[in-house]
Amino acid sequence: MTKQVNMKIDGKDVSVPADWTVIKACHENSVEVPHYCYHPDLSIAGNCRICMVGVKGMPRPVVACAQPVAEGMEVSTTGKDVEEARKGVMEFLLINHPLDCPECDQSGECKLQDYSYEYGRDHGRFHEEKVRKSKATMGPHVKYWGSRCIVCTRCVRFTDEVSGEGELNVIYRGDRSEIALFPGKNLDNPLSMNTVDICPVGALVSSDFLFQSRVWHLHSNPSVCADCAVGCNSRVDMDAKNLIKRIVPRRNDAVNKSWMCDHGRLSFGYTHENRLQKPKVHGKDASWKEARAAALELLSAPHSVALVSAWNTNEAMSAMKEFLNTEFPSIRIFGYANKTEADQTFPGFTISGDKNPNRAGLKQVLGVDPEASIQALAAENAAIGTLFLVHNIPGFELTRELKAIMDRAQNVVLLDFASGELLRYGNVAVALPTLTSFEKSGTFVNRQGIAQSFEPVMEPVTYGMPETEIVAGLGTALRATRPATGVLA
Amino acid sequence: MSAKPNRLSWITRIYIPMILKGMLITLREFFRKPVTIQYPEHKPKISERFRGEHRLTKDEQGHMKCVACYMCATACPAHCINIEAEAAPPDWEGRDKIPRVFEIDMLKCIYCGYCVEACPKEAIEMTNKVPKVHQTRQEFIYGMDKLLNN
Repeated sequence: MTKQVNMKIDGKDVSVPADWTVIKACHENSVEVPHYCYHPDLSIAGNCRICMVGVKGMPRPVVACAQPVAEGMEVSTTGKDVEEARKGVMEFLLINHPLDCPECDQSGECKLQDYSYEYGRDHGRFHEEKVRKSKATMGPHVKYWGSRCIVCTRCVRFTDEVSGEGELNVIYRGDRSEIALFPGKNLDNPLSMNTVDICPVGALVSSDFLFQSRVWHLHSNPSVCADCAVGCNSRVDMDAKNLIKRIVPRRNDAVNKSWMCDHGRLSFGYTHENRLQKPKVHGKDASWKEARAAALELLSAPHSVALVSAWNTNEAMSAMKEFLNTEFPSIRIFGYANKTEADQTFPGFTISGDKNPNRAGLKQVLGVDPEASIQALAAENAAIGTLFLVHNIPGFELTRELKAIMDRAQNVVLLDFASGELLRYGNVAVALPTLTSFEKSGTFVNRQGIAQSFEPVMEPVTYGMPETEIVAGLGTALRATRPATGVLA
Repeated sequence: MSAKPNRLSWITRIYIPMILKGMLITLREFFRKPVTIQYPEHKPKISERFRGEHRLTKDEQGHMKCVACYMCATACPAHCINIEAEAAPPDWEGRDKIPRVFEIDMLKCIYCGYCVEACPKEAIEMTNKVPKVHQTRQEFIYGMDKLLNN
């Protein structure tokens, strides 16, 4: 525990740790201080000069991001000096800015627009020619508009401190300075799109989202990324047609800080493409009622087993377990997982090689290790009556073990959201459409053991149901076939 | 409270003088310039400031001025403008973004002119052409080709 200091922010007494800066103390106490170059997860640069605050006893306003707190400090975030300083900074930042907001993807979420509205003046006084800077493609996902850049160096610090490759740097001096790649380098690291998020203006833009939509036409919902065991907190932006347009990270210091990998941002395509639209019985579209009846009939076959992937939510797994243990006690439950690679480690972030969002949850709920579990089942080598396969892994490459198990099964009851390889392979008698993690609620336990719940971000795009509802439906259908008991019996 | 209607005088009640008076007015109109016109053979004179069908304007190079900023679509109270953007061709000097699709649904449009006011590039304006009538709903959706040459 670091020492606390007592200080005053806008007349309010606060107590903050002694190693904080003034801007952090203000933000943590819900006092707005404008900032471009300051980022809570990057080092301090102090070059944008917009975060000016007044400190009692100091002759001029100081930059709040580089000023450490001190005992008895009295900070004011308003006042004539401060407002004039911010106004002046805004004017200088906009001198060479092209003001091409109509064409710029950032407009609507641009700090230059926000602060210009809040602190700037309503007209420009600069009549000379503006400096025009270069336009470049930084990497496969990032484009650079030099003229819009305010050289806050957030992106440079990000590539130095978090992704560690250091591809970017500032070249030239004064009003000509701009961001550029080192010769022979390309901004192609797996975290490159974070530079787009942290760019406070429209200088670095995503080439995948480029000109896709204006940001004020999107609506956003919080979610948790399912693409690896890190479980990055994300925000999903959708347009009016219920199409996912982009995914950006949400700050969570315990899990992903402010970052997220490019793969997690761009992999949402499986939600809109190649989906299993309706239940299928022996390859033909069927109603949910017919499909349920067919599934229940198959589940009562002797020597049936259930196989649940580590892409399922805790809720789905415990519903499966409860249902099967109660109604079909002879069915044993096994687990399996998507492929695992080596972790990709960067100085400030790690992309887990475990491409399953809920391996820990599988261990907690079903009490099995997925790899050991599927190998044990594969080693049994006995005939299987019905294989109850709860899949939900996008982009899955059929493994040898799973193929062997599916070959041994007389029938397969598949729960999956995709109409993919698995559906075409082997003898899938009943296929029940489920939903992707964007369309259902649930809980994933990440590799640190943190359970993270998420809500659906969008309306389902198919007739699929979440696994919990499918299981509930199966249970109800099963009980409905039994003779009634109770008062009327 | 019910008011009693005034009793008409006998001269009004026989109607004849009133009919004659009306016919006199009709007779007078025979010798005056008619106020109606034979539309559509004869077109009415329309004010220069009439808010009619839209037009997309072009710059000196003949490129459309629109930069697909969606300001008109955002301002439109009838939600009748549909825009899809794309990158501008590389030989368009100083241009980044242009519309791939720019459609106005003339059936939804209320001709308020907010799109013209919202446009930062003076790329959309209203002509004084009276909105046309078509056979199908599809024909009322004006695309870029129509709007650029309107």
